[in-house]
Amino acid sequence: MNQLLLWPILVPLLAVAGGYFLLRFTGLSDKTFYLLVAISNFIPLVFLAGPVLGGRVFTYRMGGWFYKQGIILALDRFSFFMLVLVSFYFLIAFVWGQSSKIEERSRFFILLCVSQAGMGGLALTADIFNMYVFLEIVSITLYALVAYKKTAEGMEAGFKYIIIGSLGGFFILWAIGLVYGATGNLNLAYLSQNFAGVPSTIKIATLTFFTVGFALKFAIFPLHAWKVDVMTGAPVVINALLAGIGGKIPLYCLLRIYSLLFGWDYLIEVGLFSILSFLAVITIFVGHLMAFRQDNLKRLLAYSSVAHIGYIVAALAVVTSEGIQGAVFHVLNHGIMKAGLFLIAGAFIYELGTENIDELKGAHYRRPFLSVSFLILSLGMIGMPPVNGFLSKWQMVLSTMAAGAYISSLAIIIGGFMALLYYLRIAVSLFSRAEENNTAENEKYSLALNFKLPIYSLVFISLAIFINANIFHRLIGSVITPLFEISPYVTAILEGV
Amino acid sequence: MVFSGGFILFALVLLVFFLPRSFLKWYAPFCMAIVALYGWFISPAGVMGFDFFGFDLQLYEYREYSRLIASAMALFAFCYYLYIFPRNKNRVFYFFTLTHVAAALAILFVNDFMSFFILWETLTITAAALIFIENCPSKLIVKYFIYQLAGTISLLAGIAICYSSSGSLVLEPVAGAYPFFILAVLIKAAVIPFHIWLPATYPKVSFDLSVFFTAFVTKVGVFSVWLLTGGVNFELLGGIVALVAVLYAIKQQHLRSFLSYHIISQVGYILAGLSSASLLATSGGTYHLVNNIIYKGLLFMIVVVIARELGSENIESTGGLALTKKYPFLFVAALVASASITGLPPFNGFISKKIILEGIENELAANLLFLASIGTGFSFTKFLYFSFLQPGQLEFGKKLSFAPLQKFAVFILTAACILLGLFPGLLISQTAASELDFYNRFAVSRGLLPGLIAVFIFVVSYRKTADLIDFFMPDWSKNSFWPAKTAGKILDILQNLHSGSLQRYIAWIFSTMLVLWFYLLNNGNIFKPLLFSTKKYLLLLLGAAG
Repeated sequence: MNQLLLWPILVPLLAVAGGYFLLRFTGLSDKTFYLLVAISNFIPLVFLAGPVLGGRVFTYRMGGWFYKQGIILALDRFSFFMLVLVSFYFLIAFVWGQSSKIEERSRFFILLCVSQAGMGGLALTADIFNMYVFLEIVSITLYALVAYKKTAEGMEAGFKYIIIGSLGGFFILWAIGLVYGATGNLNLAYLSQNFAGVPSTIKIATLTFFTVGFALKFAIFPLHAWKVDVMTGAPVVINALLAGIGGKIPLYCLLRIYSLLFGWDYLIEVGLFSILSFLAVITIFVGHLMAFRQDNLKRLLAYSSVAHIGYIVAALAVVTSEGIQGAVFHVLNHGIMKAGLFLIAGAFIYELGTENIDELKGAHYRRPFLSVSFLILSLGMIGMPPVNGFLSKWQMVLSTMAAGAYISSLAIIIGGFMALLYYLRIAVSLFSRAEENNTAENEKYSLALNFKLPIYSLVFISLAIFINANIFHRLIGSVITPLFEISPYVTAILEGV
Repeated sequence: MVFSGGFILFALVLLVFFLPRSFLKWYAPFCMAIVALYGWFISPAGVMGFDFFGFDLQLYEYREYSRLIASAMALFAFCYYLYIFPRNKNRVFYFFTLTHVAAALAILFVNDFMSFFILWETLTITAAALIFIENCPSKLIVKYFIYQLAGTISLLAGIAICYSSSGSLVLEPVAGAYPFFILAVLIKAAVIPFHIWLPATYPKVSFDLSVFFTAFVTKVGVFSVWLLTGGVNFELLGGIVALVAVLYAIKQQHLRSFLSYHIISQVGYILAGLSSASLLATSGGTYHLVNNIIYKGLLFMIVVVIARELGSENIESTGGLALTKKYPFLFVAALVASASITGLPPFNGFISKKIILEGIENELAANLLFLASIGTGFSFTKFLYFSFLQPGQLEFGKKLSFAPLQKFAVFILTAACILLGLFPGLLISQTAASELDFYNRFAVSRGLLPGLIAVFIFVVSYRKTADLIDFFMPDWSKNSFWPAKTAGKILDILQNLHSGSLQRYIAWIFSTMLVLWFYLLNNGNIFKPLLFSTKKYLLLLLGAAG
């Protein structure tokens, strides 16, 4: 069973390496092959789901080395949750990529595969330096994917992403250097027992660099500005990927580091969370206010993403199990809704040839199901039933208020109100009748299955989560336990299996 | 398992998408008839709840007041669907209207904040969706949403405060949350000065929607006063609202605007009654709510019949004698409805107004309500005179589209007004109010008084009184909205900050890093060390860099 931990990292990489020859000599279509690879990533998850959710921690020692020298992969409930998300969003990306419109499709798939291996590694690794390496793998592939369209905007987005992303990497690497200098080891489990004795100045510096480095990747104010430019230039499917998992996995890494390296008590003591919740509130307002003014649909959705990261951080920053549960649930919900919105936006942009909201007029009458889906998902973004966004927003509002963070709570509530106004603007544009309806009638053709399937499955999932709220409540509740009870994770790594 | 009528209706709504379309116009009144009968005769005592998302939802708890209001709403909805029978409405319209009704009925019985909030939102969303599908200007939806959501925010904040202090979501408000609940409820109920959304939308949406909207949103809002802010006394506010709104109503020349302001005025009455500490006044408020749903719906139906065919909604140029001659039935209905809203015996408004006035403790509020009754009488005398009795008005040859089923709907509501007035026991039983004697000489003459005064003023000096009111009541709707301007300025500043320049973003990143580092070093204190020991930190920083 333990060897299965290698699968999410190894199989996508092998598919890249072996795929070239396989396709060359067997004549198999690259579309089918990479789709199969993406589906196959669920196999280990199916096998591991039962024991992991039951509370078991799986570890795998790479190359048989002990934790003092080597890298250890570890899978507990929280990393399993992230791994499911990784596999899910990449499956969606691969399905979307079946389109014949994508140039040099094989290269697109290869980049996606490498990126997936990196994200899988991020979810699994228990070694900070290894984490850095995987983060760089993910970033580098994403730079290429963001600039994939080779338009001026795409290039600008890629360039900005490179500069900012490397800056983030630089901060993280600096922090890792400090940790290594102080303790001589980089294994998270080992550090959880030995980092507490490190001098306070070094601890503070490490904390600062880790926080800034990772916060740069998941973009909270004032480190958020690059994200919007990047998302404007990137292809929609990459945006869906970034919103769904790419922007969330650095948050996961940071939470791991917080809980294992520093411990919540220490972080509360130095006052980290008061400044984080302050920043989160500003992020919420800046994100929503800026989204207000945008005419470009992708840009608007990107700013809304920024604001939602604000929600998540605001709920995390109260550091109660309820708050973190709400935040992690929102990681799931926001990802699903925003990925769906980006993909629908992509379908409209692809069909109408414009990214301008006002020019989407009358799109409902060409694509009724798409625009209704858009409406459903945006209801979720605002936090209204019967969509999953309501549940996590409700939980975040109540838990922040219960923890005494009144301002965060009010900011989340008011944020939903502001979001309503700009989503309303899109909805009005989609549903109002365009002047020239005759052209719309002529060009009626059906949307390809590879576009339909991801969109409708995301909409279906977001409604299904609302209906099965009880199940997800229990699930997320158990998923976050490793953040507070670190001992199973630590013992599993230190004592080996 | 016991259900409220609302949830039965929610189940019935689903069928709308599967039945043949021509059948829907029968199906909707059929559903409402079932729900109305269920609400009036069955409404079982008991509770119903289940576990959802870690919270205990209580979807049903029997309340006598809720049963009365729900029955009235269902009766009105039944009549409404008969009323729009000749109009061809699509599936989506039936779906949203039925959902709206279901949410309004269900919210009366729920006993936890989560389902209360969900249903509250459902009311807002379905109303906005209806405004949209009826092809009303999209500006209306934005207006409607902005005001409604200000209320929603406030409600949610109140709920969060309740949860943080009690740890559960049972509908038991705590004192700390009152300010938020009050704001939410007053906006929903369109109480002055939070009423602007109502006259801004109701008179401007399509005719069918105007009739539909009267019975649900504001009524749920004002009933929530009793649920959410029990213990806060709004008697005086209610009195002031009733009077001021009536004065504004007299000012209006547009038929539906005039009725919209009367909605607000009646909400004032109900507010004064429901929020009173005395049990008598509370029950009076509830009965007035029930009666109000009936006669206000009736008035809107009548007005829409007139306005739709004439094309003009100016009160002073509608109808006249021609209308009375051709449609004596319409005239009788209008007369009954006007008498009811004014509170003249022997109609239903008389009963509930009397109970409120008997029960209310604040003398000033009682006097204001009496004055408001005179204003209401004046305003409706004006309506009746110009629409039905004025000689020499336009003679129109067209036939009003007043189908038999529409007549039947108007007839049911008219009959309800009369029956509930003549036999108050139908509504009032086993409460303090049932011991009141409504039809002794003193009570009847006192009930007739406001009507007589109003007619007297109207006959003696209609024009002068109207001019006087015009002069004293300023027009608020023209003022520009200052929060919008401020928000615009903030947006400009933010827009300039996000210029897309990479250098600027990098500068932000490094300064964030420095600030965060400095902040954490000083245990969350920035300003004091910055002022007193800058040199030390500069040296430390140089040391770290070197």
